[in-house]
Amino acid sequence: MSQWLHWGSVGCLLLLAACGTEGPPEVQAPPTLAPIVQQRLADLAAAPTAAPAPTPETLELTEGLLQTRVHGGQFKDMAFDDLSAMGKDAILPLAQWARDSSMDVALRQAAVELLGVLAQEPDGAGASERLLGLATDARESWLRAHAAWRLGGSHSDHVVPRLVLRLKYEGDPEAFLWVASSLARNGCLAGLSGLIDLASRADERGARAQAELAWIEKELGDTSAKLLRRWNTSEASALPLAPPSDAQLFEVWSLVKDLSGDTFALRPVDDARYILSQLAPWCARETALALLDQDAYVRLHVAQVLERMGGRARETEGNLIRVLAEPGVAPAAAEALGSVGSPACLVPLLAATQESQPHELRVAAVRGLGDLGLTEALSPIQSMYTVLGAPGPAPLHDLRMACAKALVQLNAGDDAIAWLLLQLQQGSSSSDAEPLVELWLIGGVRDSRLGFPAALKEWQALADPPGSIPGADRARRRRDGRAEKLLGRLDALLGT
Amino acid sequence: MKKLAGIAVLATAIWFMVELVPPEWNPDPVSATPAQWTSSNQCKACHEEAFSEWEDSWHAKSWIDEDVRLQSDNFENKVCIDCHAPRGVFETGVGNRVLPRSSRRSEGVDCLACHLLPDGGVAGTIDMPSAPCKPKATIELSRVAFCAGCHDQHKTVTQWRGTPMADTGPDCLDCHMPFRDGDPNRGRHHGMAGGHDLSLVQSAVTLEATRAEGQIEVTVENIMGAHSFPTDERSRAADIFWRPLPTDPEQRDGWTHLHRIRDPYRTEVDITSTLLHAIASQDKTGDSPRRTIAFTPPSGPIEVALFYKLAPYYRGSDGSVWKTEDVTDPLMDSRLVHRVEVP
Repeated sequence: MSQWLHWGSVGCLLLLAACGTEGPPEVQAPPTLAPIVQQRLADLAAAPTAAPAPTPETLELTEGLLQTRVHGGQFKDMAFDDLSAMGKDAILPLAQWARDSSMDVALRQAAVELLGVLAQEPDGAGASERLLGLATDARESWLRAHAAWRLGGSHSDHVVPRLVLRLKYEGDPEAFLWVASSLARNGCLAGLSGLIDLASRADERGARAQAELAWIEKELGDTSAKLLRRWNTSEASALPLAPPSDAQLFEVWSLVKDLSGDTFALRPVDDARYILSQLAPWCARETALALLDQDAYVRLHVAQVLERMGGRARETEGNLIRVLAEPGVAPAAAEALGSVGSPACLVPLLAATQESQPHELRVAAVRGLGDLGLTEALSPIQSMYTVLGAPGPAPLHDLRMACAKALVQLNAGDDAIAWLLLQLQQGSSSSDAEPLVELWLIGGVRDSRLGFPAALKEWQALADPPGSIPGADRARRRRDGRAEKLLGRLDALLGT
Repeated sequence: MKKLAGIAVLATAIWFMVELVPPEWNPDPVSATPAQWTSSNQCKACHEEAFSEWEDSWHAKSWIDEDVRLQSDNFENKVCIDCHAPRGVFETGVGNRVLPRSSRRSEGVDCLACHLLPDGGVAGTIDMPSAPCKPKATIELSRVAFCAGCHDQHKTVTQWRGTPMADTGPDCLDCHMPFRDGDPNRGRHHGMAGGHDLSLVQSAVTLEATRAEGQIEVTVENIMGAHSFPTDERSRAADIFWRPLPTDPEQRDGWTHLHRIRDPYRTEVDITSTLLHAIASQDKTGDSPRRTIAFTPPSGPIEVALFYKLAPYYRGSDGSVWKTEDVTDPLMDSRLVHRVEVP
């Protein structure tokens, strides 16, 4: 009977969709694959970043001019003009002096300043490239900060993707501030939340962050808090951000190429995933093309990139739905659809939960439905959860856990809470069950349900002290303690 | 109206399917191949010994281990999923980078991750078509490349390939998946002993300490020589501590930290790698299997000890975290590998 209910409800939803205008819900034939990455890279060209190698003469000349620029009194401006006039010949000597820790700091700062000026020229890609090098791998944090600041005035946006990576690795708050600022000035708000955090500090750095935020707000016409919310949703597409140059697109596709199976190490893959997922909506539209690339690794990782972009990748949901028919990428695409999230994803995801589908896809699709958060998915998931409680021909514990999570996300965790508490007391699933039970309690407090505030307080009282690291035994005791306390309250919480 | 008619037709069809077509049901899991592999628990009935060994192994805990959960931010750091819940090695290709899976993650690196073939068959050491899972003899299971998809992400296999052992052996399985009781007829042990096995760690490294001209010279050496010691970045570490020889042999504290052997994580850009390499480098890096650290302690007999750590931090029984240089009782969160006394 319960199976009938489950598949009946899924079927009704699928049929309703079939009668509508959304097209057939069943998974289609696998799409045709092509060497997309190769083709895009062939269509685009890298930024012209080459610069003449330094000679002893240019090194001597630039050093002399830098000395004059710093210590030359009335000749300072003349030295500045002479350095600027050297053009590309000055790029590598300036970068070399900037890195030279035996030199006067003021002279090194002047070298960075001059690189910044050269980076503002129409052919300033070479200077931008060297500033990027300083911003990413200089040992001294002040130098990284200075270089990142100067990149804010660069006219070469090809540096943006690699500058984004600094958000992940930069440990110095001042350098982080200028990385985030320069990104914003080049059409990428990936560092905006960090800037907002820094702006809350009551010190000089906080004041500098506030000034940068004021500039961003003026340029984009909204408060920083609203800009951050828009950046993380499908509204990002409406932000007045500069479109990428072909040189930046080339960088992006080079990163997509890094996702391929030809790359053995996970690190560059993870870095590429991180960078791509932090870029503006145009990056989602662009990389979504690679969902049909011949390389299975590229297809899967691009789906993961879109998942991590969330609402900012909303425009790609059609691409993701298409590849639900491709077994290798389908599970990742299903999870991405949950994150990208629009009602159009509901029917394809429900179709992917059908018993005829591969187990891997079913689990991912249920997870996607939970993340999608549409109440229309509730009834089918409730039915599936119930069906999976009965013995079957194959162990489907992970599918039931995915259903339980989705129920909690869909505000129907009451159905699964007793089972989740059982999992909390068992070894293999306890670490997955614990955050779900907490989420259920938080939901109950949010909905002003009777008894939930006290239950949540009791649950939180058993948390490990902040900054501590529990070992396995301690974690076991914590979970057992939480389960025991909550079981004692469960009937009252459920009103049974 | 069209929609309602469609719903009615579908409901009738579903009723027929449910009532007239019984679901596949196999009351005896041993007698038939599962229609779909969904869990390593499906292997348990026939392969009880191997399953039990795996269940106690750290492969089985790769998703649920507390330290992994912490260091991966509960797998919010999604790059960790690729190796801690990988798709089948045969699916992604032996020697290739692994890919993450969506299902049965709590089973970690499980039976199916290693044995499931892309066509739904099962890789084994012998052909046995009469068995429920119909294993096919697949020599790649024993290849070093088989482990590489995950374990070479931290260069372990590359390190081994740089040693003479790449030509002569032993290889991964010889040390980490030996034959049960040394008997090839009993098959290989699926416990995959590694850094959690103290005897294996003890056999990999030596510790010496001598006094000369008022100084103590402590020498630690990677004698196993198959890969660096330890062969992991971030998590694994080894610490050398010393203390005045206590009068009470039961005394636990009083130690002073001297040296750490560890490869930093990628975000720890200010820390230098101090791994003990498998072989001496041929370049100018000075990498060596042997390292000597000299220091000047107060006069009197001392003891020096090497402790092995599965996680880089020290935590007390209450979960509190200690700076390594403040630790006086390393055994609170490490294991004693070797200890030497210096009169």
